[in-house]
Amino acid sequence: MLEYYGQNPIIVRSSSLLEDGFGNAFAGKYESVFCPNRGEIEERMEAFENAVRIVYASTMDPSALEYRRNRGLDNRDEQMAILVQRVSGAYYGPYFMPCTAGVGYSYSAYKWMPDMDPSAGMLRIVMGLGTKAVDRTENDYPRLVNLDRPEVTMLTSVADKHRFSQHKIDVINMEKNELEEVSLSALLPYLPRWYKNTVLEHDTEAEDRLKEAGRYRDVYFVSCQQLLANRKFTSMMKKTLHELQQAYGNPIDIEYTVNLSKENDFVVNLLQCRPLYVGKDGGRIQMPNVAPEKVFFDIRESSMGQSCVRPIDIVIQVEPKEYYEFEHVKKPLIAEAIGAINQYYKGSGHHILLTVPGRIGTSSPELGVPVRFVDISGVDAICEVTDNRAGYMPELSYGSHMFQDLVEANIFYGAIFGDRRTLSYQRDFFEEQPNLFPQICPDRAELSSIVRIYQADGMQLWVDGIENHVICAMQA
Amino acid sequence: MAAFEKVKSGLSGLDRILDNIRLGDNVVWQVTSLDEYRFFVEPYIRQALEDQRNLVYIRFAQHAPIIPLPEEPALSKDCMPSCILPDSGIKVYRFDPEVGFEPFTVAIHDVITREGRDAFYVFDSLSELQSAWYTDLMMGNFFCVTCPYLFILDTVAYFPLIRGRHSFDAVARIRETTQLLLDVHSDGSEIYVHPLKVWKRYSSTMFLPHFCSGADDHFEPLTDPVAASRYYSLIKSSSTFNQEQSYDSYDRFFSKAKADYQAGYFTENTESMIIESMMSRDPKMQKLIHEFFEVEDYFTLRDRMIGSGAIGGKACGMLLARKIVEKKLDGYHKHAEQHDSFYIGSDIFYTYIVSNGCWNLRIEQRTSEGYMEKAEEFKAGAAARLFLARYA
Repeated sequence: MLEYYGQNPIIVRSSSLLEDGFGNAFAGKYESVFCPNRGEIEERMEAFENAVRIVYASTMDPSALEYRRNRGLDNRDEQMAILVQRVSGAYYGPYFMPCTAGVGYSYSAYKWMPDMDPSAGMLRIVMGLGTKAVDRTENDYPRLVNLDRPEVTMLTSVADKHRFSQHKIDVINMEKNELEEVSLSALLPYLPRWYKNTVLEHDTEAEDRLKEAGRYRDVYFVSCQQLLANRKFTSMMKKTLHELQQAYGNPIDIEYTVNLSKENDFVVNLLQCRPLYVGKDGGRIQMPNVAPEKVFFDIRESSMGQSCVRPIDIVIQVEPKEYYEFEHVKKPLIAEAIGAINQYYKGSGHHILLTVPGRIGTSSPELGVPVRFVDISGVDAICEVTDNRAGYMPELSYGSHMFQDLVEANIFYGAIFGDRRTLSYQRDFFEEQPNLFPQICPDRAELSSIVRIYQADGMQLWVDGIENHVICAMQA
Repeated sequence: MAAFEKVKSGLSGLDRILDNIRLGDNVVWQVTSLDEYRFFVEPYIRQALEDQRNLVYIRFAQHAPIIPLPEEPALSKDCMPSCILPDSGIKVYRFDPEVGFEPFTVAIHDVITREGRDAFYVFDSLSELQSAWYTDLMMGNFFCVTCPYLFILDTVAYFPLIRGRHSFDAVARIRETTQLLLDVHSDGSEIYVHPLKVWKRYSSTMFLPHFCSGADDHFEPLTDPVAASRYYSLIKSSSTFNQEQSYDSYDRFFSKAKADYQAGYFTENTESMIIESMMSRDPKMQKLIHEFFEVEDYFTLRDRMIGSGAIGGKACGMLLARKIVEKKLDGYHKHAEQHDSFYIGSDIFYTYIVSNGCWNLRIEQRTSEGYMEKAEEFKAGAAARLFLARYA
């Protein structure tokens, strides 16, 4: 097999028997390992064996075990098969990568413009390896594409488009024989003009500013705009998603790569497809009429989840300013504390709402709390909160593992932005109440001003998935 | 009782040949038909009852019971016997191998734990595990993890294995693991026993074929040339050496399916077996595969597989999606990049665990107390050991 692939890079992926069946996504629970496949056959063999071992060992990863236990699968036969795929792509200097890659959904429960048709499906697309679209890491935002209006983004200014774009690209460094993350600027010298034109855009504002300062320089950012303007491409992706959903009789998601040619031609490689778990609740719900002072938050166009009414009786708040000021190297302690609280409440029958600054589950503690899914598996609802004092910015990251996990576990997700989408938000709603944290985590007393736990008897969460309107309030 | 203590087999002649069965022995009987196995099981049971042993029958096969049962008992639950035979007090545990290798093997492991030391076991035919799990490899894995555990607990266990059905490789692994491997032939009037392996015992005639005239339990080595010649013509006709056995049963199944298909003959049943064993056990997925796959697709897939077992959900999802889009989307092929993936079958995963001696860890990990802690140890074990070289 290795001889067959020669020196093409390959990826060794888990393909377990429980994975990807109807209703069990196991998203990212098991490993995938890249093998650049360079060097003598013995070296390649060794690297390949290591990759297989890592995938096998990942059956015993705590988050996979936790997932299986939560779904009552812990006593099932969990056998692991392995899928070995050629990495599709081309060389750019010392780097190897596909032109673009990403994940696609046949249905998006989230629309960022009221008149968008969610049934057209959506893509999360990145430059380079698709890992950037799947994993939620670093300061990178993949391009979100609603296939009903593929060219439209939710961002309006060029500055925002640039800021909330993909700054780093995952590639295979063929000289170093390893997976690497490189900045766009490091990659630029190796990119042909036609490729730049298709996936990059000029930050004209920044270029103008530089020009005023007497410097003439191109400033690029990743948006895949020209590719998304290619109707042949977008309509093919839309049809692909549609036909798969039809055949499966269920919404699905896919992983894909796209390779481009100078002549503006393209080829799509479908890497994976699985039925997406959709909640059983549906339809409209009656929004409550409560006095403004009883409302914890009221948000529109910024949540994800099926229509429902859920009770909430515990609220965990990670205080943004305190979190921001907390020593950087100690920030992971907060994630651990949340994990401990999750364990504490597990099986207690409590309904928990967790609010966190910025992006949950990021690997960069300065952008948000770096929890793993196992740390939050027991909560009912999660809200990411904007905080301008500290520059936190929520990101509804479709296609991230965290997203998949939330959908799978039927956990509500909402983002409390600092703009028109948030009709009201009382950050200090629980200030008068005692903080239960010192009692629940006595050995972590130093964190009690950052992580706060409140009893919230009588609180309820109303989610109208169709209007995308959510109210969390005390019942009248 | 002490390990390696002498035990009576119920046939004094056999005891003499083997210098007795000992506590701790696993005895594998390689037979042409299960009647030959019964010939040895019946005196063994009689003797064990006389000696007031704790006798346990592990029932899991479709074939007629080895120990007569009034009716097929219910499946064993929570490690409790399915039934206890009224006259003899023999405990019967019934299991279903269709639940899969791991739950099946773990359930039997639990029974062995419960019955403890010095128990006497009779097992159904190992060959049926191959039918249930499609491969000789997994049957061998079952034996390789169960037999050492029985040995540690100083039990005596009888297992039958049908000759000529299994790959040389699987039989070699069984031979390596068991304490006794006895080859049995019969020609209606006479029954022959040929000890192939007898652990830690030796006599000058032990490894010669012996014959028993049937009437009494007198066994004699085949030293007489006339009798020996009759014996060798008998084993020649029962085709002990079958070239096909160089391959695992699953490979044989597949090459037969392929040959049949080329001869214009491919049944729904074969297709279902291929899908079930290689692609998915989810009925919804199976239906979709039936609908979109061509027969050639299965053979192409099998050619790119390393080892046996299933290819798993991710691989299956990828292949199915590609088929669907290819059939439903006009002009798709113009913009579709071909794939040339390989698949490592799920049987390799368990074989990896078993061959690296990690099975006990895996079992401990499955108990609720060990669920998380043992996982770490197991993970370290799985990550540290080498095994794949012979496959890839």
